[in-house]
Amino acid sequence: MFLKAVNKRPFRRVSMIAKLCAPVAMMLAATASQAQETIRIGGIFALSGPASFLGVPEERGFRMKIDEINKAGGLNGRKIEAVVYDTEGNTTKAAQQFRRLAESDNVIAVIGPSSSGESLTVGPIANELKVPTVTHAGTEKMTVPVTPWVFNTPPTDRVVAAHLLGVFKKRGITKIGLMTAADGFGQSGANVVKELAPQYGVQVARHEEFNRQDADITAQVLRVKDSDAQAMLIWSAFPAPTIILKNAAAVGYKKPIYNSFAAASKDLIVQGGANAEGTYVSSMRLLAPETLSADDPMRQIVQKIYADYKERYKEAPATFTAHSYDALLIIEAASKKIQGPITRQSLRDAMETVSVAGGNGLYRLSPKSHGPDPESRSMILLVVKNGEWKVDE
Amino acid sequence: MSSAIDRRLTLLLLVVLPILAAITDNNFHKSILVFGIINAISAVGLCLMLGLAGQISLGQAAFFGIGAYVTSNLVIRLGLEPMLAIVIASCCAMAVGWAISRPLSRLHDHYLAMATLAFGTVMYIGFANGREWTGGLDPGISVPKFSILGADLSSMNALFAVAWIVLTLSVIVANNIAGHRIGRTLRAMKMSAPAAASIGIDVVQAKSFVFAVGALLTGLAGGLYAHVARSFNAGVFGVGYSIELLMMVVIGSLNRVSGAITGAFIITALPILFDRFEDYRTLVFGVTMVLIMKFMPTGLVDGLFSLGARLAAGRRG
Amino acid sequence: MLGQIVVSGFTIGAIYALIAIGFTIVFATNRLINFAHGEFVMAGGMLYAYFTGVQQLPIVPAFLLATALSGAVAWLVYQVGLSDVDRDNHITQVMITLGAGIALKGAAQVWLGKDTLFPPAFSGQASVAVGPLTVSSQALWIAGGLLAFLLALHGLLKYTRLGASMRAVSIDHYAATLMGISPGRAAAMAFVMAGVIGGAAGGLLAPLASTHYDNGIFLAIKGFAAAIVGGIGSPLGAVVGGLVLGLTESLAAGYVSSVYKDVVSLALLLCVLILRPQGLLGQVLPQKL
Repeated sequence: MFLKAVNKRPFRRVSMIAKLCAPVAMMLAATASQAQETIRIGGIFALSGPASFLGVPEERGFRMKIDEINKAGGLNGRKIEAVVYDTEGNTTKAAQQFRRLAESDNVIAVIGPSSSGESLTVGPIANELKVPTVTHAGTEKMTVPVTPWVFNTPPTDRVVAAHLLGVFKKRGITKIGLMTAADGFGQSGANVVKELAPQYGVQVARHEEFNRQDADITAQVLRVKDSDAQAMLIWSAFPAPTIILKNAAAVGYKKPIYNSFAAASKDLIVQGGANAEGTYVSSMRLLAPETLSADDPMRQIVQKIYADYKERYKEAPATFTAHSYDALLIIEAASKKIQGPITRQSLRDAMETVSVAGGNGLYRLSPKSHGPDPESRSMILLVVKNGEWKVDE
Repeated sequence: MSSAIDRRLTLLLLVVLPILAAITDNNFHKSILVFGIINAISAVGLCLMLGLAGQISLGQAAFFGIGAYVTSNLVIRLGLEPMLAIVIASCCAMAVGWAISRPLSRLHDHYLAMATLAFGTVMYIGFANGREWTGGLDPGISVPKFSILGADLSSMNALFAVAWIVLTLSVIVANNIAGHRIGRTLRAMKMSAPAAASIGIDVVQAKSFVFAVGALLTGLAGGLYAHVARSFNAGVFGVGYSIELLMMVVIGSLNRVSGAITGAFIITALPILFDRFEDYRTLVFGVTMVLIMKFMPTGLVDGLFSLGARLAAGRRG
Repeated sequence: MLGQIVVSGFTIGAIYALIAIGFTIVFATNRLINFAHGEFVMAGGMLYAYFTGVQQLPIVPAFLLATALSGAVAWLVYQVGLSDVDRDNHITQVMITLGAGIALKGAAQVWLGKDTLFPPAFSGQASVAVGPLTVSSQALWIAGGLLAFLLALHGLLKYTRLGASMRAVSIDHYAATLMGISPGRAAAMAFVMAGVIGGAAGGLLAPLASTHYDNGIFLAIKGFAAAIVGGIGSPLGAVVGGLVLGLTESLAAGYVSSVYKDVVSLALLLCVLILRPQGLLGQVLPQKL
């Protein structure tokens, strides 16, 4: 029977094999040409200006993870080319550079910007130009309501404030002195703390402002000291927290001092010295990975980020590194799920199906959830003991 | 100012801009042109104040902010027609400019510079803390899409057209002021205020006039900015913007409208061109500024003209 | 609380005074608003942090080196930027100082780093108790530095030839030329002094308030305001202006509202300008026609 078939149509087998080979050959050719083609991912971070404490570690996390992905073969075989611009924390620049990345540089996705103000300006443009964008904003407006093209990796200001207020409630602190910087970061903190405090039975007995770069903040510290506040909450980036600690020690302020995540770095200990002893900070896990419990679902990834960063940059990472690292984790996981070529649309669609553990928390992305899962406790409380950060809850 | 060459050059610039906008497909490049035009409108205002009348103002960011915030609030809270809101906002800025010039009318040179700087900073602090009206530094304020009588004009092309028309009108106003009697009054005042007063010129009135016009134009630019940027916070209206405006006008050429426009585009585009230098951006920008001012102390437009004249003379001779 | 606020006010005031002195000297001899002055202060602080940090030098040589280098940088700015520019073209000179300031900031960003640094205080002990009040030991050094520079400046201006030529140039630079004095040399020396005193201010301030490549403009504006309030052109006026400004800020923060404390000091500045433009200690300069 076999022989009969071969004799009747002598080229049938050849043509069958050819028919099978052709698509395979085409696929091989396609992936071969794709593997040579790089894929561009854009980053807009505040590398200078008042938000640089966020932007600089974010950019480092960005480059670190991209190199790691490229070493492992890239995204579906395509190497990533990073295109980074400095927004200087300026909303106009951020918007301009976003357009540049989207239209001139033809990136497949954008990571950043670093601050809420910039992100609010960039968000609508991302939706208009249809570019998957993972912002690093503290404001929950980026993901509430969810818009198709915008994702966000950090825990929102609301989550951070809720964490601290929860700690106050647990410790029986009902009156606090709030010290905030007179910049975007400080204002966002002031807004959200004042809004949520009543829900935790906490009253803001005193609210004082200062310039982040002021040389002396004694007057404000004295006003808090003189009030009936049981604790002080500082919401500002450096150098102000260090200066407040110094001024507070000088005037003999004895009540507990809590900080926002902006002060969550080794700098507070190095700069503050003995004055920093006993200070609390609400921080993402990346500050003290060795102190995480063994069953913490984020322990593994956090320790990896810490170790990789330390090896590459020779110093401990700032916690904001996780913002961009997580963004790339999501993009990496998403691209693995894409069957065909990676385009802006296919990437976006895939990102909405990703579930990963990142440095900031657990991500269970869906069309309704474009940020870290609020159930994953992103923030932990740390205290300075003997010149080191230790988990305190 | 308002010499024949200046007017021809300004006309050339106004004609070239739409051509540039038409040939590029890229919205990013178009947005640079739009922001350049907005800054040019502000710069024309400062050019009148400083170049024509010798009144140095380091507080123009305040008027830019008034224009932006008043427009935004009128559109958001009262649902006003955007173009109308922008006009009303510019008039508010003009009123504030007129009002602030009265107590400052005795001051000149560095005293005036410091006073306007102080005024600008006070307004900035007001913007940053008046969260009820401005959204402060965080979250700032967001404006709906630009439209005229209901027609959606939020595309880059439409915004460019509107901005270009406003710039053309501003140039016409500026040239008219410079060319008529009030212009001569202001020039006299610039040369020597006491001498001008001695021949019967009401110096206070003249200063108020030019402050008002400068504030009007900058406020107009602010109103346009609000609709182009669509989301902004008080950080835009700090001392930095006032200093940038000063740079635009001086680098362009102090007493030429064409200089103000040229300077505006240079200061708007240069940082973007320098992005390639990454960390060295700031250093390169500073050095470039020093070099421009050293080799062309009266600004680029003037400098290029004299260079051209010398070359032409050299060839003839 | 009042006492502590006053101490705090005088501490910042002394720093503003040191910044204002350098600024006012340059103004007096060059009739120029030096927008790069804040960067001289920043340079002093950053260099001090660099020498004690990266170079591991002891405090005294690090501070002296930082101050001397700031003076050298200031001299360089004058020589390269301003020495051959028409002395009567004020706006061009201001622009050049603006550009130079930006360039200095950019240079610090690239060569000294982007970190916020807290270099070591001059004496180990953090604070000294003076009765019921606490004064930081660094504040005492700042006060001492201010006094030392004031005395040195007074001596220089009154008893040396250089001082006399600087005073002559500040009154009328054409007339000074006729007397055989080189305004260029006086101007250059003024810049060097501004660099040295400003750099010292930065170095003294850095252990207290930190130093960063970005904080030049912030300090410069305070220095300008102090100089104007006290009377521009007069070093003693700069000191008075600085102390008044510092005290006002501290009192406003303590008793009025910390949110609007800057508005209070700016309002003070505007009042001085509107009512008495020559400042508290300045003389009314005759206006030329």
